[in-house]
Amino acid sequence: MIMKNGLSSTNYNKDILSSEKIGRKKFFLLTGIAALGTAVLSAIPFGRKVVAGSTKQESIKISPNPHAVKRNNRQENNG
Amino acid sequence: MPSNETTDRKIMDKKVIDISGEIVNPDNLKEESRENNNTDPNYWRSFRELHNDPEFMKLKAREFADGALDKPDLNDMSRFSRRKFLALLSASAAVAATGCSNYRNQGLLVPYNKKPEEISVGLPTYYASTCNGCEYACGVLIKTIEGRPIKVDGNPDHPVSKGKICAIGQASVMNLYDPERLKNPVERPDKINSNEIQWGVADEKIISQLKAAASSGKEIAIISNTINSPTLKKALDDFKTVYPTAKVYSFELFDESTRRSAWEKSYGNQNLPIVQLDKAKVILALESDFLGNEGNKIENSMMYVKNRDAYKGEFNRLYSVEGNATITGMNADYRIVLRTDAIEEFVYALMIEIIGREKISGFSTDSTAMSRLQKHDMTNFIAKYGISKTAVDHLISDLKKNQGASYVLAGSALPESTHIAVNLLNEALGNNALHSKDQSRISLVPLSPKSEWEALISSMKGGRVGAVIHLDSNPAFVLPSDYRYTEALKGVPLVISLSEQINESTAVSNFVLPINSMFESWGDYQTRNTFLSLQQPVIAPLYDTRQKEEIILAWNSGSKDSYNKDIYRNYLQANWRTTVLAAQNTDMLFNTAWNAGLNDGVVRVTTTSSAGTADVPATQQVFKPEAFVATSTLMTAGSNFVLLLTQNGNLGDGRFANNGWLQELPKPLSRVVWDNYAAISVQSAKALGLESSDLVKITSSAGALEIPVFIQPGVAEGVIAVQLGYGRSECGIVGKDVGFNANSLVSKGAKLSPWLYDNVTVEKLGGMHEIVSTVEHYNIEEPLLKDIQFRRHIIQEGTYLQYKADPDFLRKKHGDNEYESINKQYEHTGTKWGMAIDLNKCIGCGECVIACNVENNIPIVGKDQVQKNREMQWMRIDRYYSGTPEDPKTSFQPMLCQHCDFAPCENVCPVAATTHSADGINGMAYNRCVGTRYCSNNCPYKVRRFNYYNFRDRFRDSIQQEESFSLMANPEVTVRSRGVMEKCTFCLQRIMEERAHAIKDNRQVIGSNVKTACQESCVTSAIVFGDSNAKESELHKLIHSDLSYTVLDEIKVKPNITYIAKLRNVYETENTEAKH
Amino acid sequence: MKNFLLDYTLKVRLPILIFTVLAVFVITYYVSYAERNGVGYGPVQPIAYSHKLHAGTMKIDCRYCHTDVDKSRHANIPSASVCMNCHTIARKDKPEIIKLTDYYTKGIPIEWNRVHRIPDFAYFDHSVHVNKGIDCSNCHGNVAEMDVVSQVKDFTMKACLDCHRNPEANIRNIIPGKEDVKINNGPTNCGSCHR
Repeated sequence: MIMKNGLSSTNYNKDILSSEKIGRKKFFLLTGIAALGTAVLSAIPFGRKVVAGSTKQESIKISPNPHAVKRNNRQENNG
Repeated sequence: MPSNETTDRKIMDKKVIDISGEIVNPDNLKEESRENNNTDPNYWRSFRELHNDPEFMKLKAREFADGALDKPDLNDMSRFSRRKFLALLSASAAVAATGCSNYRNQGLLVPYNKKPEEISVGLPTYYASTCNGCEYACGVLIKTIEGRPIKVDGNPDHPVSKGKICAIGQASVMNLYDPERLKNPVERPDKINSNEIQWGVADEKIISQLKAAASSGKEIAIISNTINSPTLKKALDDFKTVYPTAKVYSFELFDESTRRSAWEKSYGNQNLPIVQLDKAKVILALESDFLGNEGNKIENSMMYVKNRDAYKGEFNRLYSVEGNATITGMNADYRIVLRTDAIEEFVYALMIEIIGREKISGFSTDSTAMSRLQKHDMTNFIAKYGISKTAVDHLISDLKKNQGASYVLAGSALPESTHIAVNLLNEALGNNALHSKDQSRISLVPLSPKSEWEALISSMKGGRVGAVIHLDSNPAFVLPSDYRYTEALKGVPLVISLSEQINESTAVSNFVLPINSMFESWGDYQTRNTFLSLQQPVIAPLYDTRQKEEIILAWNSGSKDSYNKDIYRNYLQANWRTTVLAAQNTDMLFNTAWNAGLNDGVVRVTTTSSAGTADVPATQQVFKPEAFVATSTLMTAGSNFVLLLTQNGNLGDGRFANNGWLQELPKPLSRVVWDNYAAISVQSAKALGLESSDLVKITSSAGALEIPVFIQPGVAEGVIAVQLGYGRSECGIVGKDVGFNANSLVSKGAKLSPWLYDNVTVEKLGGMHEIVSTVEHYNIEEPLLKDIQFRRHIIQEGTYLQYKADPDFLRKKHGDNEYESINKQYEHTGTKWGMAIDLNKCIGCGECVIACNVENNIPIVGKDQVQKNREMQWMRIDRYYSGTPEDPKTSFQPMLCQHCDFAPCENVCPVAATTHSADGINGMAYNRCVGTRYCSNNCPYKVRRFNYYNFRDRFRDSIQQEESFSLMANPEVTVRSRGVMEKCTFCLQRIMEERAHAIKDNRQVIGSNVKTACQESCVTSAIVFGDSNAKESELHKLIHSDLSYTVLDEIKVKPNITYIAKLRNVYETENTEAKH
Repeated sequence: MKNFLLDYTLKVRLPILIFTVLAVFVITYYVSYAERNGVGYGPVQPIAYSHKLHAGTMKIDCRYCHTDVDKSRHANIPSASVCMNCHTIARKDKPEIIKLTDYYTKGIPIEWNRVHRIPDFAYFDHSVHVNKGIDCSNCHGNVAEMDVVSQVKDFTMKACLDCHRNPEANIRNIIPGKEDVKINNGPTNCGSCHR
């Protein structure tokens, strides 16, 4: 005796899609492209890498020496 | 579809009924249970069930209640499906993500909080100071921008260096910003592991140990390089007062010991005079590389080229007799290739010709001396060694004709006996007239002789030394290996090293104390008796370092708390107050005088009272001819190899091994980078079956070394020359294990001199170590390439006499190739930038290359990339050989972007990244460049450099990307990344600076105000840059002079760089090499 | 059924999609041109400094604070010490001045939000323009009327070149005292800005 389950109500999906389930070929195609894209993006850093040091905080403090005497001209000072 | 619904249900009902009919039949069940004797009660949940209501039975069998499986009413459902919901969710997330970044944010602008008065944002500030690269302490001008030093140039007020500085000085900026500098003091209790400690703690521990050593009578040895600072000497004298057992030792890798001991024997003192080579008409260099490595090469080069200007004055004549191939020899007018150990015999033969045969006026030698000379004869000598008789004859006649206006220079590597002989020769010729009468050298602390070192080593071994302090020196690497210094050091309980970087000596120390670089230090230096040079810090110490003098002062005081950051400045000022400025006898306020001194960088003094030893002035030197007679030894040529250990111009005694720019600067003749090698002659290589890069084992009386060879044309047969200072084992990542440590070949007890060994064997091992040269090492006898520089008129040369006879000879020889140009010619009015390079003055030293590197942020690429011709230096010195490989002539030519008016590179750029400006500059817009490299393909001079990688990222674990390196960059020049073509820009940033000044002063741009980096650094002033349309400028005159020519001028690209042809001052009126 | 769907997608939906995307992109590009090039950007600053008050009402010359504009490439933002020249006394009880004094005494440089910026590969020289008499307002707008500084002109290369090629038409104000300085056409070769 065929025991048909009460849930054989998939027939009204047809109303929504007006077609069968998305084709197996299409599904695999799309997921394949997605996987390939992810692989490519993860392997090749398309501009994602930030140059080391450009965003780091400056830990070296630069300060001129207050006792240094600057020179006004680069020519000979008749000295 | 309702109709289906009811039929479905009917079908369902029917089936249910069927099932229900089967299963739920109470009567059957009762019967069955009675039959089976089942005592289970009948379970029922409601009356309907109990009474087996038929309707109920139907319902019971069905799983879902009525209406539960009804298709949902579409009108009841929300319009918002799950699918729509998910789609909207992801879309809004995407929008939020893109909208998150504030694309209009332009960053921050952070001004000073309290701006120092000297600094104008974007404008450089200059400070005068002194260089610490070597013992000559040349004056420098340090250019700083917003507090960071970025370029070092010479101080024009310094009487010796006169505004120029060598390659080591130029590259010293990198030493300040080296990320591998020592940053904190460390303690190494077992000399193996290090732990960081505080300065106060270190001082305390050291002071207590020093006091203990002094009180127990153990020696405290301070080991330093040349001490030329009067105030440091005073601090050390104070140290010796506080710790009475202290002794100061000083050393240099190349210390001219044989020359000085010879001078002592000949004149009774060790004060070598200053030779005024600019007054010499004839110079004879015997194994002396005075233009490249010996003495103060800046002073030497400047004096030499004073008489090498084709348009002013008379040329001098340089003879060179050498076994090694050096730039001095290659610049010489006559070069005699002679093995080093035959040079002394040559001097004797020369003397017999000059003194013996004809009595020189006023000079008489006694018969003993004459009898020694009589055994030698020049004709036999020439025959024995196969040297050119013409050259020797000219030499003899020139020396005789120019008595009192010539000089014989003996190289530092030659033994004492040769120096004594040369002293006699110079005296006989009256050349002591060239010794400076008003200037003499000052040596504050004489270098320690061998006896002192040996005493120290034996004391160390015997446990009589309580402490050793390495005062910014590296004896473990530099001292001759047979002292066995590192082993002796094991017996010393306290070893302290004061150093900027790790080195072989810090690796065996208990305390490693980091010191300030020259940019962060105060100091004073005296090398001559007429002036003192001041050093001032332009930047506060970047890391937790102290100046070495400050450390000594803290130890002198005996308490760690005496240190403050002005301690040495106060000490220096106090010393000057009482010595130098007191002696000036002026009523200027001290502060004014002090500031004036710091402004100028140099203070003239009239007395040497402030300095150390009272030297014997030049005029008072009394020659003792008997020294010559007393000499018992005579160096004679052997049949085995003779080994010459030479200085390299780049790394000093090895202390700059971590400076990538210096490592990548090609050596002048061989153009080798990143390694040292054993230079060997063509003949010897053939005899041993060697090719360049083959490994050999050199064995001398001192030791052995495995090193690759490099076949160097011009080296004498039987001579093998190795540069010292390479093969650092304890060094930063850049210099570690680069090259081969030839220290194993240096012996303290050498028979001839510490740098010259005979009876050396060279044997070929298998295997090779690649030696990379920036010039293709081709066989110069190959027909297609032979004399290519002459056939293509790249190098045009003549002789001085030829030029004197006919100033137009160059034009006549090469003519003016009047081919039609395919380009439309047009007039450049207004400023037109151009450059003239005088090949008479260019000695091929390579300072210009380093200066260009520093000015233009050139990256270091490493040996493997240089092998692929990818070095990024915008300027290169091309070196061409001509003649035979055994005795070649060399022509140097600095080559850089010629800024052609009809540049072949400009036409072919597909994105117009390189264009020509109206003022004659071929410009490069890096942001447009896509990296086609068509321009480099088209360049006939091959001066364009392409960034194949981001070399800053690639070289040695991206050390150039470290934070401190980026502080070194010149902010006016773009830092290029991968994929971009670059080349010389004629220092466009300096041209624009001049243009800004001109607009500010409301005047025209003056071409001679612009000094390109290469021009500024060229020691011999061979490079002149300016406006070629300015009729009175020096550049204009040079471009339109008789000897000017452009390279590859037949292709009519109209380069803006003109070369002045090299004239060799030979007697022949035809330059026999350049026959084309 | 399947073929029909695929067809429909390709022939109708795909072209519509492409067209929509392109149209949106192009329209957005042109409409947002000014905004993308910074016009109208006037960020909030850490201290509410008003140019309208100082440069407008009080008529302080631009060069009192921006001292290096006629000496170097950069028109420097004044350091806090310049502000304190007056504000050690003037209005020192006002909240913004208290903030300023706090920065000054603690030694923390004030992090202003940058308004005008050109890319790093272009090297602009202020002193050359100012010394020729070109007034600040030609490029920066009427700053003396701005409470919050915002950018009024787009700093694209085209804008620069337009003025370089035709200075008389584009320069409106001349710095007083520099009326007799001759302004020629500005340089248009690459090297003048791109080193």
